[in-house]
Amino acid sequence: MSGQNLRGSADNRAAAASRENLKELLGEQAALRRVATLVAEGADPEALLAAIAAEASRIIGVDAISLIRYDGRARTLTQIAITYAPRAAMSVGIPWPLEQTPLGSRIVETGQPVRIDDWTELQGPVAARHRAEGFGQAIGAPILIDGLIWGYLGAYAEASDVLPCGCEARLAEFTQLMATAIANVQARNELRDLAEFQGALRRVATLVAQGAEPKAVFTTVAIEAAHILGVGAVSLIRWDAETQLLTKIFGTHGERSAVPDGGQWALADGPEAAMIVRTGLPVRIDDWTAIPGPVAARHREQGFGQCVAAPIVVGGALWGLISAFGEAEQVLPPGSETRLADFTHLMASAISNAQARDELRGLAERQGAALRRVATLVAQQARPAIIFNAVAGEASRALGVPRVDVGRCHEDGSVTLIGSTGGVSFAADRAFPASGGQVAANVMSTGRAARTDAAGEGLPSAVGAPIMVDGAIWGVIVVLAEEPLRGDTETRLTDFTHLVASSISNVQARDNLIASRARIVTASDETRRRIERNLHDGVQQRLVNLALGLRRVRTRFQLPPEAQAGLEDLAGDLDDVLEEIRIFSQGLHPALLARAGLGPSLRELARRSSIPVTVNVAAAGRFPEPIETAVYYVVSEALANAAKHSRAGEVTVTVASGARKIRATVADDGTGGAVLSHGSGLIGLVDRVEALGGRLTLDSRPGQGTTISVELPLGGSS
Amino acid sequence: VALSCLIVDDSKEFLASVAGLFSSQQGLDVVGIASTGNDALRLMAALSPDVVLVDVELGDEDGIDLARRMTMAGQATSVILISLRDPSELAELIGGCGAAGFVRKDAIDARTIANLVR
Repeated sequence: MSGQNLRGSADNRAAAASRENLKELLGEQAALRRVATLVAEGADPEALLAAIAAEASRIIGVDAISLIRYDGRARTLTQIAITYAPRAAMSVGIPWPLEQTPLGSRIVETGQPVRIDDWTELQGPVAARHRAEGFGQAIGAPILIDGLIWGYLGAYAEASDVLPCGCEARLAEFTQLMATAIANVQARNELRDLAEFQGALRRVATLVAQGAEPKAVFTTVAIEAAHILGVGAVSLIRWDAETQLLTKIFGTHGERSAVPDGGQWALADGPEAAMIVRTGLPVRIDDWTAIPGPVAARHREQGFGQCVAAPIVVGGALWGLISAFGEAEQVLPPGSETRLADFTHLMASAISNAQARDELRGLAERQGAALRRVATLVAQQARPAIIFNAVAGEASRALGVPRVDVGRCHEDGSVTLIGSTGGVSFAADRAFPASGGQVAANVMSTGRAARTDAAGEGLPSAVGAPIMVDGAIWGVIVVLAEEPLRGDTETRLTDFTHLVASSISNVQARDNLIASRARIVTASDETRRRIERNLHDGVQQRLVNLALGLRRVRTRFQLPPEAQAGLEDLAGDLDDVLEEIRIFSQGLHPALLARAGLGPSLRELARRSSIPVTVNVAAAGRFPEPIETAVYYVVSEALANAAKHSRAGEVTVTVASGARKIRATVADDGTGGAVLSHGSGLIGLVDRVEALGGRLTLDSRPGQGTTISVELPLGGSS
Repeated sequence: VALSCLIVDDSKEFLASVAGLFSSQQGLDVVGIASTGNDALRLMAALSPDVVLVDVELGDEDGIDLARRMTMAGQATSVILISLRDPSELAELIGGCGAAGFVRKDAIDARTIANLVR
């Protein structure tokens, strides 16, 4: 019996134990069912986690339970659900350093359930608070999701109680059961985050793709971040490592901002930014009460509370940060800074694209403006030196380099200076400065950008790039600086030279055109002069000899009157022919001009004119023959027109010259109303003048007299 | 009394024509002819003619410049410029060179020259 009894009692004990087990199991099952129902109902994560903590409390039989999230990256622990809030050492949502949390640090270290019976010797604020709140033994069990420690459930007994034995095993079992639910919660969170992030990213990326202003992109990023974190105040802040200044790019909280958009402040005055710049990690600041400085003061004043912030890293460097601010009483959920960091990470490429586009657009705009200015000069037919000095100036501006030289490459390998930020005078075809000579030579031999770095002895750093026109190296642009030039200078200079090459080829085309027109005019002048010379030395001379011979015959021989008369007629005809040839010769080429220059020739023209002409030639000395010829012909034609049509009482011819141009004006006080197209011989001179890169203008309002001006550039065209 | 005359021109044919004409006319004796400035100056110094006819376009040389040097030499010789061109074309150049006159080549005649000298 006793055996039976024993057996019976053993059976009873076993039955009791199994009943206990069953009860536990049923309890756990019930707890799991309740949690699973919550999961299935799609309860919000906070409610679900609170339910899990409550179920743990019931199952373990301990009032104080906390559900704690572990952040492996930041090595922090954050309370996310708690059953004993007022007495908790760690308040909800605030990350604590792992090492300050005895229970947590041991769980993370071992990955096993942990029990701490004696807290008396433990250091740190969490342990101190634990003791102060009257807690004693504590157990904790890791929540493992996908083999990683997601967090843990902690249970804290009152100092007066003793935890039942095996309770840490029960806690471990419970957490294992809950892990799936927690994983679901996390998965749902992640899914929600992912969906939200993707949506945000799509909206931002669309803006970037549409080429929206960077400002619009930044604004959208800030608003999306505010939406995702459930806060009203998000700031997008730019960090400049060089100046150590922060710049507010955009804030969603307008007038409540500590710093207005576009405002700058020192790193020391930006608490969350200072931490991010120091650590490069997302940060969280819960308590602003003790933070000094005007920005923190303004933060408090405007009723803000917790803050999370995450770095924006672009191209491996800290571009800036996004800060999110909760209201004073608002609790930012645990992991907010991580979510912000994840969001920021996704946005970084959009932000950097927007920035790159902005830089690109800025570059294009600046270079576009540069091109427009250069093209305008080209269109205005400015002198090449003016154009290429402008090109040098624009390159200097676009690249932020103080000195730029523009060289023209020649077939013999030499380079001449045609433009510079230092200015190149109009007539000079100077040798290329030695400071950029080596680079220019390298550019010419390779056809690519080249660089020399500062080598002491006052030799600057130089980067050069070729100006390619019609597939050949037309010239070279060299930028020079005392200090080393940026690594991307070659690329930027090459981009610049590509853009200006078209303008330069226009200049070249125009110069070629001018040169070819000038060659045609010069060639025709040369032909006329040769014909005039040949007439003079040949036909004219022989006719004169003939005339003199005829005179001699008439003088020497006593001829019958009929013969005399016949010879006299012949002599008269000969004179007529000679006169015709003289006039024809004069029209071909003004001989006096070649011999004596503009002053005497124009005075001579004036003397022959049928109306009084005052000639005022202030231009002393001689000018290139094509110039003198053009001025002479224009004045000659203008005087002829005045004599024929103007009914003027007087004509004034004025010639003046400076270093760069010569200007001649023929003004009469006649009836005016002349036009260039009126079968005027002037129209033929327009070509001659333009071929020399000059301009012919006619001002002839009715009743105002007629003024014809010609302006010609001096000095050879390049 | 005939005036002694030196003729300076780079055209041999012209020199022959003028010399032939003057020989048929009265009042001028051609005592020398020259085709270059240097020859002209030498002959002028040697012959001291009453009058010298100088072609304005003396080949590559400047006849007006030669005329200026002749008149500045201090001799009593009258210098007369001659040219195929009309005097109106050259008036600007001739002024101040000291020449006694200008005669278009086809108008050259002993009497015309003599009138300019006297």
